[in-house]
Order: sequence, then structure tokens, then C-alpha cells
Amino acid sequence: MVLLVTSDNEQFQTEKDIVERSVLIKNMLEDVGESDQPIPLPNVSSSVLKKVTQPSTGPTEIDVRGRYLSTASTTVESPSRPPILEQSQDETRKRTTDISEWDQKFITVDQEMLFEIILAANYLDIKSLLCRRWLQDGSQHDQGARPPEEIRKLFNIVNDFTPEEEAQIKKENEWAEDR
Amino acid sequence: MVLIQRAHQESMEISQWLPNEVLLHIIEHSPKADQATLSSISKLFRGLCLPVLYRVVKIKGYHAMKSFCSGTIENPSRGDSVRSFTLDVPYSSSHIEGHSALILAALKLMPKLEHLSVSESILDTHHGHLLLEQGSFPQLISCNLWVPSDALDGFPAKPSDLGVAFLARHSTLKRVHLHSEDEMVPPQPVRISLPNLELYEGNAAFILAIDAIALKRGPTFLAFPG
Repeated sequence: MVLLVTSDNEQFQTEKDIVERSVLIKNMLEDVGESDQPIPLPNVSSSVLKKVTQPSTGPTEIDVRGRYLSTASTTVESPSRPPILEQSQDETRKRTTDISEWDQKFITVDQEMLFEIILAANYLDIKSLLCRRWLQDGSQHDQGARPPEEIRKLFNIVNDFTPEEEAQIKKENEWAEDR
Repeated sequence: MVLIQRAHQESMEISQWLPNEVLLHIIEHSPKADQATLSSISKLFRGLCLPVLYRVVKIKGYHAMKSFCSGTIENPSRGDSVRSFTLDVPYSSSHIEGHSALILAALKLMPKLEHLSVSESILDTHHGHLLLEQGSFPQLISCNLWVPSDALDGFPAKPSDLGVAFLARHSTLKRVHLHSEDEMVPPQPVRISLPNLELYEGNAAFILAIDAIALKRGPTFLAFPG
């Protein structure tokens, strides 16, 4: 077990194999060696650390065990996706609705938290966690990517394309979306 | 976490508080379809995404193949980013006249290609010949190609001779998969020098024409008689 201390002075007993997914903490542990001294994380609050170290319990939780894979490696497995062509229209529509409902909740309640998680994942060097979170909805069963408009909303990104440019890009990107 | 509070309250764009190299890391580790989505959200993201999106191109469908090749021909600079190009499209009766020419035209725009793989029957015999005769990729490391079995009018050389010429033009090759339905017999006087070759898979007679120092040191090769 490793003892972590967050910016708001809360202490966390966490399993070593979980915290070592963070390259920052792994390096710290290697430098310090076996020690009972707590590791200070001045840039991470307790609420964020909870999100980053706990296994998923619901759509707003981060699935750390399942998704942040190997941070030391440069390859991150692509999530398996259901072939889009095999989905019936109903399923596709249902999926879109699910994402939107969840998103709405996520955006209105948790944008600040989401930003903090991204920054913490960056600070702790758990970059693959970054990759997963911001594109996908929280459901365990559905790994579909968000539509561009939702990503813009989530990250305050201004669409600086003209409608013509956007149509052109959509056409140009068809090959990469054809799964 | 003052920055985050500001980012949230003032609706700051993610690029204002997360460095571009982190964004790039995210993009690089996202699945292809997500890279495409990200490339369509803003100009900044498009700039970051495009070189990554086009670095490794793997095409499995006829529609994607058509979309990719015609898009690359319209924007030739895209081809510059391609390092790995795999066409794994099953033969389909919906192939239209002219798709082989489209593929070849797109390939000509990929001068920095390192990996090239074209599955069987995608190119018609004529363009299969043309690729072996004219294809030139100075940085090619691996290729997986079909050599047409029939000689074609208008080509003075036999397909196997074109295969020899293709390999001879690409001395950078480390891995060669060369398939043909017939036995390919290389012309006797020709020796191909591939000093970096580590893996050869294909016709047994053909390997005899290749001088491959690296291969002789022991790495794998699979040679099929005939």
C-alpha cells in the first residue's frame, strides 16, 4: 500500500499497482524506495484523486482499472467497437439518446471536475486515461465516439470553420470513419 | 486549481490550459475514427490531427478506398504524411472501372511511404504491372505485393522481371512479401542487393536472386516452392 496526500491534506491508502499506473508516482516510488512516508500530491485534490484511483461504479466514475492500461507503453489498445453497419437504426438512435442524456448531466454538473481530472491525469502522467475519457461516454458497453458538437461543448471549443469548410472536411474524413 | 476554476467559469478553450503536446498525445493514442472527429472540431485541432490521421492508413472497404484516394488526389499534401498504407479490400463486383488508376495516382503522392501492402485482386492486371514497373518509394521498409501471373501486351518485361526491378529500386527494404500464383523465375544474370532484408516470404526461386547480408545472418524467411 502507498500513502498519498492530496492538496487539501487528505490521506489515501492506495494499492501500489494502481498508483504505479501514474508515471509520476512510479518514478517517485523508485527514487524514494520502500518508505512509510506519504507522497505529497500538491496539484491534485482529494475529490479528483478519488475519481482517478477508484474503479468505475457508474457512468460518472472513471474506469481506472479497465481503461488506463499501460502508461509506460506507447501503445494503447483501441477499444472494440460494434461495427456500425451492423447496428439497426433503432439501436443507433437509442445510443445517441443515451449519450446525450448522460452528457447533459455530465456537462452541467461536472465540467469543472472533468477539467481537473484532465489536468491531474496530465500532472500524474496517466496520459492514456486522458485519451479515453474525453471522447467517450461513460457506459461500459458502448465505446462510441462523441459527435464533434459535443466535444466542442464539453471543452469550450469554438467552431471556427465555415459551414462549407465543415462539409468539405466531413467528406474528406469519410475514409477514416468507414469502419 | 485556480486555473481550472477560471477555465470552467470563463469557458476557456481546452488549448488555453492544456499544452499542445498533451493534446497531440491524446490524438495520437485515439482510435482512427476519433482522430477524424477531432480533426473536424476546430482549425487548431485540424492542424494537430491531420499529420497523425494520415500517418497510418488502413483501408478495408471499397467506399473508404475511393474516398481516401480521391481526397488525397484533391489535396496532394496529405499524401506526404502517409508512412504506412494498407489496402485490404475484398474483391467486390461493385468495383468500378478506373479504381485501379485512382489507387495508383494516390500512391504516387506518397513519397515518404515506409510500409505498403496491397491485397490480392485490388489492382487490375494492367495497374499491377504499372505499380511494379513505376512504383518508387525511397524510404520503403516493408512491402506486401502481388505479382500478376500473366504477361501483358504493351509491357516488354514479364511480371517476374518487373518484380525484380521493383525490389532492385528499393534497397531500403527489410521485409518483403511477394506473392504470385505462378512460380516467378528471376532472370539469371540479375542480382538484387537488399542489404537490410530480414524477412522474405514468397517464391523460393526468387530468393536466389537476392543478395541479403542481413538475411544470411539467420532471421526468418519462408520460401514457397512454386
